[in-house]
Amino acid sequence: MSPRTKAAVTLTIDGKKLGARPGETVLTVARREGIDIPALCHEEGMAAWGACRLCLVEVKGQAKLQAACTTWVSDGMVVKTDTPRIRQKRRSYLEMYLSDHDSYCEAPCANACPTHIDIPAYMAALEDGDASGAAAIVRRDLPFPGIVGRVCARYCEPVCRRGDVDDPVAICAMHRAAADHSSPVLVPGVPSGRRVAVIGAGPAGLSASWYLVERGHEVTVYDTNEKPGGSLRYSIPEFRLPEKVLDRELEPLWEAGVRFVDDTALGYEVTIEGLLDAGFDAVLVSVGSWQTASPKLPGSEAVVESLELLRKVREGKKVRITDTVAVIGGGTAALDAARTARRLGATSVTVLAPRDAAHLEAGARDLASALEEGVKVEFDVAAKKVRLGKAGRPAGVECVRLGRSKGRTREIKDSRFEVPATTVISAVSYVPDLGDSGEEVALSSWNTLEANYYTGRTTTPGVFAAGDAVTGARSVIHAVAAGKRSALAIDAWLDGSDLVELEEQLAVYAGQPYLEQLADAAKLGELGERLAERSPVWLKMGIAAEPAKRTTMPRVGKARRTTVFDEVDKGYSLAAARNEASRCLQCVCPSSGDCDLQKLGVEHGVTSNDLVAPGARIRSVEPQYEHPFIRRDMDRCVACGRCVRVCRDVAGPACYDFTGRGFAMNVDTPYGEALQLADCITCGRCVTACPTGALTFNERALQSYRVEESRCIMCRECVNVCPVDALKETNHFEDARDKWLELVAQGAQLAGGHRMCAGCGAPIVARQVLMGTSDPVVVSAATGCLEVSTTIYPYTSWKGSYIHTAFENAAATLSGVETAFRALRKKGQIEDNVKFIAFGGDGGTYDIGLQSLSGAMERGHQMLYVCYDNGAYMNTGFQRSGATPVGAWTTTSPVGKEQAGKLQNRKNLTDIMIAHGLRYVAQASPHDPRDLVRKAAKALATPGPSFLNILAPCPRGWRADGAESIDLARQAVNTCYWPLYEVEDGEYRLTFRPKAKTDLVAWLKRQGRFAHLFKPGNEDALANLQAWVDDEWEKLLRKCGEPPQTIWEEQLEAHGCMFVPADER
Amino acid sequence: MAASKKTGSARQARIAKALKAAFRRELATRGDDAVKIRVCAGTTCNASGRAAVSCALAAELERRGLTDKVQVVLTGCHGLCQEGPIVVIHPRGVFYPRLKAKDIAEIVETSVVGDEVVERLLYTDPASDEKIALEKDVPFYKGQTRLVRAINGSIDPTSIDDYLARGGYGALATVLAADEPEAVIDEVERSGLRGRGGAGFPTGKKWRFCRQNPGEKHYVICNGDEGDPGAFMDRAVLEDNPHSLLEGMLIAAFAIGGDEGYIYVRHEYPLAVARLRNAMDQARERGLLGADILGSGFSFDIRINQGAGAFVCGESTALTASIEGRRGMPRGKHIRTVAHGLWGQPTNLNNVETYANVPWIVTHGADAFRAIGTETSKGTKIFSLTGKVRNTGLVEVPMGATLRDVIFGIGGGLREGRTFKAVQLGGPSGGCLPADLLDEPIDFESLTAAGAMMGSGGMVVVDDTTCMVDFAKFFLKFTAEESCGKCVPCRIGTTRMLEILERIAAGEGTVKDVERLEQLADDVIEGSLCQLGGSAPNPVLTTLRYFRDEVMEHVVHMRCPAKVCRPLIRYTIDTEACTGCHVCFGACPVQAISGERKEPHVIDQKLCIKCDTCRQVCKYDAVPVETGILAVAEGRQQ
Repeated sequence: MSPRTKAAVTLTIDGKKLGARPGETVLTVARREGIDIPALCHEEGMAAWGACRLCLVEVKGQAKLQAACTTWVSDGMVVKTDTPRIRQKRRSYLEMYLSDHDSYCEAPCANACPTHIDIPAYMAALEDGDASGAAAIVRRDLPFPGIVGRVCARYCEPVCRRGDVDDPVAICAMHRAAADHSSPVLVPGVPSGRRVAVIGAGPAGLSASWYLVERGHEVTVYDTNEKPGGSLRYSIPEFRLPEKVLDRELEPLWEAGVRFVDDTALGYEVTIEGLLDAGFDAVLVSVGSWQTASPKLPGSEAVVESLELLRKVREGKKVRITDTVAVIGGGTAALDAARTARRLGATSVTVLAPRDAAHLEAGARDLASALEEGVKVEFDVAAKKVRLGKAGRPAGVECVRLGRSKGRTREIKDSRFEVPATTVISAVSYVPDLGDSGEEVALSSWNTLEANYYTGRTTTPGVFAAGDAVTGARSVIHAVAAGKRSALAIDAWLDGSDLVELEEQLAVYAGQPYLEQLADAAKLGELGERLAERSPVWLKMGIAAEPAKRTTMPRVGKARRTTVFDEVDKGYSLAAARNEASRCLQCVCPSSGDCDLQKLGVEHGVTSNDLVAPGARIRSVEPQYEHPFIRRDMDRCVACGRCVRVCRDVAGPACYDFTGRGFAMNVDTPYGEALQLADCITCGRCVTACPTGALTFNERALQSYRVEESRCIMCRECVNVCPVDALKETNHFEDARDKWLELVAQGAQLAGGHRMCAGCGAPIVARQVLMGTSDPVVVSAATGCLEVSTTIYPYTSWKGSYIHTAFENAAATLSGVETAFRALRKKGQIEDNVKFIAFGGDGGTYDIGLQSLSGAMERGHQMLYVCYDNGAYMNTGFQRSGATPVGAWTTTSPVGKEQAGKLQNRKNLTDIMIAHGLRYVAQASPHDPRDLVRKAAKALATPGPSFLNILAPCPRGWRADGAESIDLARQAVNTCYWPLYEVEDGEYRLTFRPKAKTDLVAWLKRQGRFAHLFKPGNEDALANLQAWVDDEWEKLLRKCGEPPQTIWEEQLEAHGCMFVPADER
Repeated sequence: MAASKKTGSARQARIAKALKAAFRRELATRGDDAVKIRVCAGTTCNASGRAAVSCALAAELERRGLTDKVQVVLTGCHGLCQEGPIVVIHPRGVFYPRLKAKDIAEIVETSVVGDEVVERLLYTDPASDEKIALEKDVPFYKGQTRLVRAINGSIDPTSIDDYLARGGYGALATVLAADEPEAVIDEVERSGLRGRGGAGFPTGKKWRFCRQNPGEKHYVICNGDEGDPGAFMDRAVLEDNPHSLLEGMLIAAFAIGGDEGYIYVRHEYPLAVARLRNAMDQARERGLLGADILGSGFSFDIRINQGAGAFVCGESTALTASIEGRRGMPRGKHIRTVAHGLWGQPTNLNNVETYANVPWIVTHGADAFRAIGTETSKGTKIFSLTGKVRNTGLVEVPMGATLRDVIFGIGGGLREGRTFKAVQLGGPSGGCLPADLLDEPIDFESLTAAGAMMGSGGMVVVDDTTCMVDFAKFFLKFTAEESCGKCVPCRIGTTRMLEILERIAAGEGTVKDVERLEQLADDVIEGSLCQLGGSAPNPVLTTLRYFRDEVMEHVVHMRCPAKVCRPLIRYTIDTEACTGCHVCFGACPVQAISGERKEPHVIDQKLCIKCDTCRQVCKYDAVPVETGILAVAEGRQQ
């Protein structure tokens, strides 16, 4: 059937009789009729591609399955789109895709954590050395990282994917590091006028208080103890959580106005009803569980309660412990009691745990610490009786061993034995102490409070409950999570929300499959989203990370650990934390929930994948985040080619193509250069076409500029200081992108397809300068690379007015044009605003054209002169210029016995231009387009002449990799070889100050023109070059009124912002 | 077509005259009865030192003043590549294989000046151990039926006159004279010629479709991107008789109404490209290519396009993409090349050998062609016979000949002391057939039914020293690496299959792995976009079909029966047999062997890299190779 035949056809798809036009494909027809045939590579409206093989269908009469996208419809055709045979094949291909998909959909750690901290995000911040930023991310979900980071049960770490490579990332210790290296901050919300009483100042109550204060509510916390903290202060020993850490972490609460009332017990000093009567709008009960609930063992009258023991030790009271101690229980409290007993002088401590080592309630870390300290543990035993000796003192504990079969625990016959003990500590299970208020709130059969899991709402209006009081003794992190949820719920309730309805929705939501949850999430609203517990589904796949062991945590010596109560874990230094954070695999995909591969994977049940056997090949590609808006993470690429085709056939620039063959096939830019060097017009079509998370908008980076509108006080401070005037515009991503697109279109006045070398800085510089104005532009270029490569007769890459001039007189020529313009305008023959821009290389500017430049500037023409400085005469074969750095090789500053490259320092042309008294002079670099465009815009708006000196890396002359040009420019700025600054009416201003000034060596090493400097005998030349850069930098800092480098570094260090460890600098 | 109906017409006379004018008899080499020395200048002979031989020959003739009397012709490939450099002395046709420059003087003295043979230098038939003097008596040639390669060994491929002297371009002239393109297609269709590139599509039918499809232009493309490991049939045609290809393409172009052609040749065939260019220049100069060919009004010209070494560019749609300057990637076959091919125009794409068959068919008629071959497969097929067989080289046999005829007849069977294990047909897309199938006739249908395929004609014979797992791994590795990466079954599926095979070869495979391998093979075949992926699992599948026991030995007993898979073998020294001669001690590249002279030596298993050197150098057969669970376990323990 030829596609050109005109007659209509009738075909049957899945039993449905359908009409179609000849020349249509089965896929098009099926999709139009609402029959879903999966496909990853098909882009509606574009020619069929046929690569993903997921659209295979059965066509009657054809032995082989046919790809629906490349099968024309024909009359009488019978198609089936979903049969077991098809599903098997689709599943197989999805398994293949996922076996080479070195990325997760979601981070399992964040899912496993009861508070759902965005762990990958804070790890990324820590890797950058930004401890305060990391702590802020943690505090969005967990207010006390310094506390919980020391005592958490760590549900996150066992699921960490890093564990499949070597060890899980030390996630818990990393919140602690974030807190240790920053100061806790709590910004109270706009006062709401509502008052909330929190009964119980433990982890749940304090966490709730934190988030309530953040939402502007007034909080009073009641507690039976003298100081706040609850179990954190009174049952966790000092050697795990030092008191001063606790106080420091809680301090922001009191600073933010939370009132703490001590020695007040629920049911004794206060009652719930009383508090409501007293004018509180809501009450949160978070009293924890402190009463022993277990049936008493024979002889238990002689037993010491673990919590009592721990509290006494915390309070500094004297506690007597005999030599031989037995602890009954397997929870954290049991181990804490045992370790405390060791420190109090017990020589033999035995823990009688009812479970085996792998299932101990206390985590592996605490168990290991206890064992290290000489505590013995009997696993799988049950205490039956405490045998009493003389004077009713304990003599031993009679135990029986436990066995497990089919999930049931049984005592093993004839396995009774006795553990000798003169002190027996009980750490079994606990229930809340509710005083007389037990009647005010409903209780469960376990004697705990009844409250909704999501909101903490009890059946009494205005009364909420959270933490161990609801759940019985559980870990701190559960209490914190529950506290947070209750705070959010109370806030919503105070605002008039219907919590009952939300709870019902959440209960239904939790039972749904993952993808439906994602689809439904929007219906839950913002609060529902935060309260929801998403059933985590992620697809298993390979990891190609290089093994790197977990960073070791410095600890107190073992000998000291049985005598003193110093904190055992000393914590990570910031450098160690950065190192550890770099082990994070960033298992999070910006496209999760919006990814076709994920959707199909879940639909076809591909959650485990036997194709990923040990030794399986996995393609691993470095992610590219250089583009301001488009992130490329090709580990997530399925090579469907949609971006390739859409960019080439729809958008035009053809930024992408396939590279490599076979398994190593990849999608990349031509020459593997940065995307913005590949004629990208930032249209975003590639991102919208990408079916996975390989191409995404860089929204996360843009979000960092968002204003928290609820807290904005309209002071305009930020608008005034914003260097790019962005805050006058909008803070919305779409608009920001459109704005940038407009600018990009202006830059396209220099068209792509010019003949500059791959990786040349000059055309990028020229485009970014052109992005600085929307007025018509007259460009003049001195003879040089930019000129010869953009205007090869009879072609030109310049879309607007362009005048080519001789090597030395670009400025003179343009000043003539500008004068003519002024004359015509005066006569009324021209009305437009026209901008005049001259481009010259450093040869034409520093050397031969200096005279004409100086003249034009001095005469005050309305023009901008741009020098693209690549540091030599490049198009004639690399001769030295006045801009060539000392020591650099060129053909006229050769390397040999007599000299090692150029002998003289480069001259400071920017200073020379400043000395002309211009109203605007600046230095810029193409690696920072925002800065460059802003400077160009400023220069073009300045009355009279202005000058920009812009670094333009030259891969040929610099003897460097063309794909690294932008990075080389960035590095030149970070070494302070090429400082970014501007001089406006004589005022110097540094527009960018690197956090750490890096050594010149790394930059020089990447360029062949300096290769000889690294040979023996040239150490002096190298040192001279560094000294010259240092000297120039200090001079510039003085002019800009900036602190000298040494003082700057000290200040950064003092603020904990010195991100680069000494060994990297 | 043998006899045109329009005999005597003015047109025919004009064309015949033009053809005659194109021929310069004085430049052609004389017939076989003249005193003449034919030196094979095929790539293989060139590689075995042909240049030195022909230099010595020229010098010797010069010295004896025979330059004018004796003609030396550098010919195309003679076929028995293993025995190069080959020199044949006419008129008798005395055959001298494996010649060295130092033997030339003696040969000239004896066989050129005199009429004797140098017994010592004659070819010895490995099967019968008899000396054979004349080329025509060599069993390797005797068993063949040469249509396409008939004159390759007797003409100078750089001389158009040699080709013309043997009736070359006569078929073209006939066709042009008759001026009935449809009749040409009828004739080719009736001959039963099927594409020699692998799929075996009827050539006449393809031409007809192409002719029927409307377009601004019709293109004729020759696929010379021969990339199968061990295959060099097309190269031989391109190098040895380029004009036969040009003539075939010209006839095809005339038949479908094309005026522009491309020959897509691998960059790895520099000699082929040079000879083609030379042939095209000559043809243009004589009015046989270009505008108004032989004054007939028909115009056709050809360009050469060199491939950059991608195997997938042998696939028709990838090939056209490559000519268009795009990445060589196949596309869905719903759009036919005959309708929308190169630059979107109707395009006829055939393999080199297919085109080379056409002049013969036109000259001798479809019936003569039909008389050769089987019911469904007509004519002959060229195979490159390689591997562990005695005579390796290019073999042209009629369709329907059995594998036994080729391997044991023409190929002379296996080398001394070895037994036949399998023959791999059709390159990486084909399959390995066992001894039971040796009597299968070679035709498209039988081979496909057996799990192999005709392919372009690669034929690799292996003996009992080849491990079938290792062999399958080799072919699969090739296709996995050569996949263009476009579709997922081929890009990832083949690699995952390869990983399973690697596990099996390392003794780490499981029974489940074998089942998974079969399932994956099915998934890859079913889903691949083009035939590269669609046939890539064939070597694995045939291995599992015919040599499953051997595969299971690897899996279950960690035993490699052929003792090839290194993780499963262990080299030891038989202390009884070892004389302590110290030879292996010196030969071991990693110093894994220790021992005093005249004392039995030992191999340090930790150091041993299983390179087989010690076994090869041992004169006392004292290095047994062990395999199996015990050997592996012991090797690991030590």
